[in-house]
Amino acid sequence: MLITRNNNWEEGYRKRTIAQEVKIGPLTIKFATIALLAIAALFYIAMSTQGSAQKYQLMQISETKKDLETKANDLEVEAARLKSINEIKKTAEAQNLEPVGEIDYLQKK
Amino acid sequence: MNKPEWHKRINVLIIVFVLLVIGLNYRLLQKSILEHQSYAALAQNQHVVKKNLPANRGKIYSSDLFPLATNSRDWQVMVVPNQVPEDARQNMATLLAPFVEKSAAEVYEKINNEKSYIPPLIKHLSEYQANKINELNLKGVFVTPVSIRFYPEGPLASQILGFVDAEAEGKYGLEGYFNDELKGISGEVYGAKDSRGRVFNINLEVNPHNGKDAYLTIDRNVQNKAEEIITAAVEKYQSDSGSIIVMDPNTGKIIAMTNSPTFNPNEYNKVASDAQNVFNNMAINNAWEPGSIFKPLIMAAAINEGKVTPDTQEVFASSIEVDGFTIKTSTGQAYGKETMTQVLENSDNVAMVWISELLGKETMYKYLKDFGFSRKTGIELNTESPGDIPELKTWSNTLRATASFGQGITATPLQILNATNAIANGGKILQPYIVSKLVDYNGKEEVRQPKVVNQVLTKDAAQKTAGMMVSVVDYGHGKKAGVPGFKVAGKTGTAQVARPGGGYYDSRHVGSFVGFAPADNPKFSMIVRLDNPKNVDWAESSAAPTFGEMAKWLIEYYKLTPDPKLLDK
Repeated sequence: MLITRNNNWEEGYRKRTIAQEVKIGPLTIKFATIALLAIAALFYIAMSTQGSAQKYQLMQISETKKDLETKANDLEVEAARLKSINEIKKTAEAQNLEPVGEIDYLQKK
Repeated sequence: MNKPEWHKRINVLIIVFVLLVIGLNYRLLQKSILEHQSYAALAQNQHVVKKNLPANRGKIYSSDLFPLATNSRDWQVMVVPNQVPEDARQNMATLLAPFVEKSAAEVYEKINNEKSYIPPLIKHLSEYQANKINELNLKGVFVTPVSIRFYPEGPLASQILGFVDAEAEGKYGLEGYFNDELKGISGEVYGAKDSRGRVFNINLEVNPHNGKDAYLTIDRNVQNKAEEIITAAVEKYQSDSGSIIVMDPNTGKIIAMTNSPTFNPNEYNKVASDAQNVFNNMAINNAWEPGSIFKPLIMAAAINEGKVTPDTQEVFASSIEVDGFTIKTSTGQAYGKETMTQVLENSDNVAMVWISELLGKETMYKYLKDFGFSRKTGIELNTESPGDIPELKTWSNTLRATASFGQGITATPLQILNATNAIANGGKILQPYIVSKLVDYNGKEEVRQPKVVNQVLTKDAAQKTAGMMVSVVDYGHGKKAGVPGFKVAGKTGTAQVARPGGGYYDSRHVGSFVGFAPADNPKFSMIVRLDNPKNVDWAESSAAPTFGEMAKWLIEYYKLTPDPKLLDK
């Protein structure tokens, strides 16, 4: 009986194949490279998509922030308008308030 | 041996295939290499968006940190006619008419066409009105916000502030002077957009730099009171116009500066084209022959030069001849023997001519220059006038004589007040300023500090002249400017108005009053000018009482304590 590592067959020989050595040939390297590239590409796409989604969320938050700032500014402007001297005068007139200088309710005898 | 028929067919197919491959490769070469740039640009336009990020215009605050100029927004209604179905236009016109202050027929006429752009149907709508129109959900109607400059106090301090025009450029006043600083630098953002035009990824962002905020020395309450008083005075004395400036004579700060008539900067575009002179700040722009309010300055120069003292006496006639011209006292009467203090009390032109002779042209000219005349004060406002003092080489004896009582030369109210401040503060000419600080987007501050330009008078000369001006208010033409319990220093001026062709108008005059209080430790200085008051002849009946009213209010406002000894006077 021929003990060999070669697993080919030949007429008239009785053979037993013993533990075969794994060979990494050019084909394996090609497959492995392609597989790695594919995984890397998938990883990149996943990360990129996730990054874009986060940026999109960030932009939406940023837009919301701008809207809120605009509304805060609107309120500030409205507060300034209401606190303006002209507006206070109008309110005082509308409520028939008496000017301070004309108040003379208490007199010393 | 002949090739089989199917071989020929295969050859034909091969040729066709090769031709197809050549053709396809050519197209590939053409699109991907030869026309790469144009397709790349097309793709970029489809996916990349460039957005302008406008900078916020800097705000302007009064000294109590109230925003006198700020930024707001209103809404405008745009219609794109070619997006509006023809059969819906009539109904749309009816719905929009109440909002756009036009009749339905007028609106229909504007929108009944196939144009892709027509001017906005209406501008300056409120948010409430904008929401109401949006709720109508009309196709082809767009309600868009528009950034605007807003002045919460309306006309208050309008000629100090100026306004921002439709192109977002500042005009007049602070808006014009500090336009570059206030408007800031806009930014840009480059990003990728999705199929609905929404930006989902920012590739490059250049942040805008907001404009600088300006903090003024203006006291809003004083400004408001000054506006009330000058408006009432212009009406009461039937003047063409009037001005008041209030300053702190110890620092050069402008506390209030106002003119009448005025305008509302929120509605500057409603000012008629022939009335746009109202945009100019007359207090710094309108130089005039100031007349007798100039006399204390010449008197101070003579005291400073040691030519006279307040008690120097001389006898003066009712008129004096100078190079063939007769110069008379304002009343035509001779005041006879007068001290220099009485010269100011009586506002004696003839005596002032005598003082000008003592000083001489060169010295007078030097003092006028040192007091800051014939050059801009450097106030940070647009349209300041330098006034006019003729060059020394052109001075005649007549000009020397008339300049001593404020004729033949011109000055602005601010120049007169700033020069008079030297009498109030111990002889210093200070740089007048209205902006206390500018603050940029990083919070970096440019602070303005009081600045002494020059020491024009000695402290002693300034104090003596101030005392003489107190006498003018106590015993002279300025009585109506007085406030019981306080020493008010001042001087009236009733100036003739020069004709454009030479000489003076007979029936026109400018009444003015300049002064400060309390005289021994001034808290404020002030000038009042009333142009061509028609129902009074002298400034003591127009500008002086206007000064007195404002001075009384200021003394109460600053809570100054009266001197009991002066209350009984």
